[in-house]
Amino acid sequence: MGDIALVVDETIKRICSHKGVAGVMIVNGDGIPIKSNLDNALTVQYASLISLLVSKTRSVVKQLDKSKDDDELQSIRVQSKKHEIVVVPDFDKAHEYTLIIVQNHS
Amino acid sequence: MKTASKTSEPKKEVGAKDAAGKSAKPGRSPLAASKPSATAGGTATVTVRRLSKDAPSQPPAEAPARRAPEAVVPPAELVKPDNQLQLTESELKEDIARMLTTAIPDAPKAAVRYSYKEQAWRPEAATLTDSVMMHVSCDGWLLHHTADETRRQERLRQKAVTSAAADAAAIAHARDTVSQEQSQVSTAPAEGQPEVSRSISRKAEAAVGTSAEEGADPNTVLRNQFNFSERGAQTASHPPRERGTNTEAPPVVSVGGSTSHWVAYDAYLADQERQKAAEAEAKSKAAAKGAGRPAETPRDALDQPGSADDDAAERDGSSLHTPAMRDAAKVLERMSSQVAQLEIAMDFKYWDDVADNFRQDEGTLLPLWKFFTDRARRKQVTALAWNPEYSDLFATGYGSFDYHKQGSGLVACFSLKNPGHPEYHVHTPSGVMSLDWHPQHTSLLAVGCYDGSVKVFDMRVRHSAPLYSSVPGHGQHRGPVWGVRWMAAETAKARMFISLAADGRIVMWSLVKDKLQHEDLMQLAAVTEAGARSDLGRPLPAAGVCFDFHKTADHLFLVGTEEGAIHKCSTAYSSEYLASFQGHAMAAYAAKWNHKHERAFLTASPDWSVKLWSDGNPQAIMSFDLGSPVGDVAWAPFSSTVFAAATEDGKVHVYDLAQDTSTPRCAQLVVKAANLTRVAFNPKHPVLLVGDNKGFINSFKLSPNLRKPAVPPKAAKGALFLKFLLHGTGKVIVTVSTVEAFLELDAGPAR
Repeated sequence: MGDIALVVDETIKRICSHKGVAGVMIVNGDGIPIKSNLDNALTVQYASLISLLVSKTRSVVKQLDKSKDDDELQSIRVQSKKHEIVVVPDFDKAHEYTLIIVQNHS
Repeated sequence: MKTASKTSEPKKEVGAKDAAGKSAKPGRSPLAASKPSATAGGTATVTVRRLSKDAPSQPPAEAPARRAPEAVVPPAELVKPDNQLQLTESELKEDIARMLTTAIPDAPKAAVRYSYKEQAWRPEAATLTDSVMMHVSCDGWLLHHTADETRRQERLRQKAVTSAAADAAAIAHARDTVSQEQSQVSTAPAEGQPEVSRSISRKAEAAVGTSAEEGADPNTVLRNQFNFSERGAQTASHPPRERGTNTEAPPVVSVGGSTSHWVAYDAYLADQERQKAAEAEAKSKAAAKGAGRPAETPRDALDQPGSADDDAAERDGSSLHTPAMRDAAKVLERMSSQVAQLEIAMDFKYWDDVADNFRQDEGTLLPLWKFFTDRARRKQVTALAWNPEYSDLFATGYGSFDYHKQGSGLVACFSLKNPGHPEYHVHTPSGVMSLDWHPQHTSLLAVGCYDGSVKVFDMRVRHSAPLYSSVPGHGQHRGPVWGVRWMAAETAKARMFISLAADGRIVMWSLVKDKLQHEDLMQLAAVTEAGARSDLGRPLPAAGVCFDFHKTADHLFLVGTEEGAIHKCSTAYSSEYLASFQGHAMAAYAAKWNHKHERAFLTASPDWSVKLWSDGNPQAIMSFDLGSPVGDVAWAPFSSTVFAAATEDGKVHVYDLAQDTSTPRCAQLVVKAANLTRVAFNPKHPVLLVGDNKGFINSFKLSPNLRKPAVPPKAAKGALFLKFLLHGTGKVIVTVSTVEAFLELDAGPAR
């Protein structure tokens, strides 16, 4: 546990120190942000909007999948003029966390 | 009588007829022209009360005739009932006078009334009204057209819109007159004035007509005598009013969701898995309590990497720090670094130097990522190796070439996807000199260190201790281990690797259970130029500095020594070299077989040269003078004629032997103020890794000119002019058509 915790924390710290990263947040399955770099209002906004996007995209992926194997959504990257938002949704089946980072283009 | 008869009621009509019949009955006179029948045209029958014994035939026949001269008249019928009185002719013609009065026959002529005032019976005057019995009274509604009243009515009708009240008053007035006249008519029935009655009817009709019109006008307020009721006479009726209240709406949160088949399916599956996991945990807990938890050795981790950690994490239950979280964070870190260095990623994938189209002879190296980790500060890159399975993963060994400055070592594995941070790193007590990936179990790293020890690490496991480590005294080398290489033997059950060290020993190590078993393969002996051994009677140990296994013939390998000699050896022959190649003035730092050609190999030496050899030829075929001590040389995987050499002045030279053997395709300064120590080509992508002695690793993309794959040589008519020089010896100039042909020519049949 300790090892993984260290690794996870370190990784998140490193992500925060990447060039252009505006914020990193972790949101749980109910859309409540657990950890965040940004201020609360913005975080809550991101959390709610991105949860919607994630659920919609997940349904798209699943419904497009015609084969028997489950196709799963792995990550979403939204590129806009100013920012790039990268979302890794629902990576833990037990606790449904979503990782979101917001990065400015270099 | 063309007046409209629609407004009259049937009751009135009947009554009128009766009254007319009554009034117009003096002595069998024909019926007074009564009001017309309800239906225009006189199709209705006229019912007449038989007040006299007249023949019934007359009135019906005459009445219709009087009424409407042009109307259709039904033929009169003589109906004689059976019980009619039979009279003689004379009796029939007898005139019987009848007089109708309004006097009530039953009414008393002299009424007496008890007067309470006088306490006596007093005779009461028989008033006119008492003896009058009104049989019927109805309002007629006909007016004579020439009567005054008619004219007045017409005028009033025209004024109807403007003065509603006056009309209403006129109507009331008209009604009064009509009733008066009617009473007059009833009292004077003998007059038989059909005109009057007609006029009365018409007047009444006009009045009714106007009243009907008045009713149509919405602005007038009708004071209906019959139905009128004043407001004051009515009880107050409050119209029901709707009054509603609204409570404050409870706060509403809209919740959205979408569902489909797979959602339900997933939920079921997850539930099942949860149940199974719960059962399994219960069982394992029971078992663990009973048996005691066994120590987890690193070797278990070899087979199931990471599972021990995962279980521990799950049991401790930190919700945020789970393996899934770690993976997600890793992915996210890679994506984030890609965004941060998007241009480099794009260049890596897509950029091709356009200038290469215009110059056929040169290429460039485009700098891509730089890899560095803080832990590698003040260390030199001593080993570089790409992972055979994952083309974006490579391992670097950090140590020091300097005899005087020896510190700890570091092994770090980087991925191209995440240049900022190594995927894996582990410290070693002494500097790492060489490392090698296992070709099949691609997470195993064999590492040779400066202190002579060899270790095996598993990259997947985050232990800091090596899986296997050689122990001093049990075959451990006494000098820095310059080369390690896994044996790619598929048949062998144990995994084996070979190491070469400065003490001249070549040792084969096998991983047996939890320790390394060593087997001395051979001892390098110094070979003088004459090929004889030294005088001491036993061979002088030679220091091996590098070695390389043949790509196809597994047992053959080259060893470069510190004296500059390169020996070809075989694992089967432990005592002797198969061949020796002399040529370098200083140590041979690198010896590399060609990937495709069986007999060609390159060597690099700090004597500023890179030499190309052919197996059968004890002398170098070609020598390339690079102007600076050469740290490393490597063949390109995609071509049998392209190689790169890295020198101490920070330049990388890329040669393509198929095109030009004298000038490099590219000689580019890649690092300022650092010596390049190692060079490695990526097996899949056109990327070149260069490590330097400051601890940095630079990656470069080869431009298209440098990437040309080798074309199988055809016999060319022209000749390539070759010059080779042997250091210190005479020059022989040979012209050959191609390098291939030359090699054939020189070496003879391959061994």
